[in-house]
Amino acid sequence: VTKLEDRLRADMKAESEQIELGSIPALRLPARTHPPGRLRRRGPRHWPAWVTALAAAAAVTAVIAGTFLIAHTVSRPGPNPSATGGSPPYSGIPPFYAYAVQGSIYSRTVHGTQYGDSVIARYVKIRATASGKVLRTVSPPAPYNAFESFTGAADARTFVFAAQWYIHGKLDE
Amino acid sequence: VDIKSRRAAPPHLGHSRLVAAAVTPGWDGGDSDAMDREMDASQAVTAIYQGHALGLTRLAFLMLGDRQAAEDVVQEAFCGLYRAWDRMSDHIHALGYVRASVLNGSRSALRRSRRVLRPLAVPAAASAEATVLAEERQRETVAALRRLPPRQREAVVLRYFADLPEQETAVAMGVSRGTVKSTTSRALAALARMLQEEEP
Repeated sequence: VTKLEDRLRADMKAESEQIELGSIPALRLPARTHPPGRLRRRGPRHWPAWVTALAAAAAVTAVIAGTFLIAHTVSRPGPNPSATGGSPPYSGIPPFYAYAVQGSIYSRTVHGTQYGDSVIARYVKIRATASGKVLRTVSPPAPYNAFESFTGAADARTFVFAAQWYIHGKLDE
Repeated sequence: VDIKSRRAAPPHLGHSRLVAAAVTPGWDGGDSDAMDREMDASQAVTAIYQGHALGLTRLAFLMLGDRQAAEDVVQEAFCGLYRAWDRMSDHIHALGYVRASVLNGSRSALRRSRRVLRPLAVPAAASAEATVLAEERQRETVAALRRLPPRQREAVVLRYFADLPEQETAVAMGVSRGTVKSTTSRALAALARMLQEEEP
């Protein structure tokens, strides 16, 4: 044991004795809302396996429903080539095209500062090939916040989208 | 539960050393099942609090330099122990659990406040010159301790204030025993330079 170690022991003990026995406050435990012995465990929650399977099936169903909804929404008004620039000047080229727009998604707050993540397909824009005019901007339906993929049908009037839910660091499609 | 009203035969109260053994008469780990039957979580956690709140609060105080923050950290650590009580496989580790929680809480409190640790005001010096010199020396030691990086300070406080062996210090800090050795060594070297003492 060195002189320094002795000094540390003595001085830390003396310093800590500013906290005196009688000054320690009473322990204030949180109230339990469940009967003793049946404590609901905190921390990571372990769901039964069937809940996971059900949630996965529900998510797939929601994506399919969202896809049909978007496809229907986009195709129903049916941008009219004559109304949006007339007939395309080149035969064989689709009258409309779609492309993804990169965007930012708010994802988390750290020390009071909000941070976002950039996703490649935050929106999709559909333009008229002939005029370049934006005919429609499509956002993913809630709760989804990004597109995973999209495609156009051969008639160039129907677009199909697959949406996904982006969470910081992972995707829940 | 008011600690002041339950002070009959308090084990280890008033002693700064942390002891990882009995805090309740008859509870030495060998009959923890019997204790589980007899005491619910509230009673058990309160008993550990009565035995160790003072030492843990002093430890947190050395880490944080703030009395109120130290008390809050200890309260929260015991609330965490209470919440975790029923899922702990062996309650003999309860003290180690709560000690690690106090250290974690102290780290979080330091990060949140970005506290600049200052030596607390030492009570007015007595007339005796020796007392004045001792207090000045203590002030210097505490100031040097608080200039250490948090992990080094943890190692020093656990080894030389709580008198924990290296292995228990490692468990409390969540690091290996080798890391405790090297961290403590660096801390002592830094303190020796700051205090102009001979290095160990």
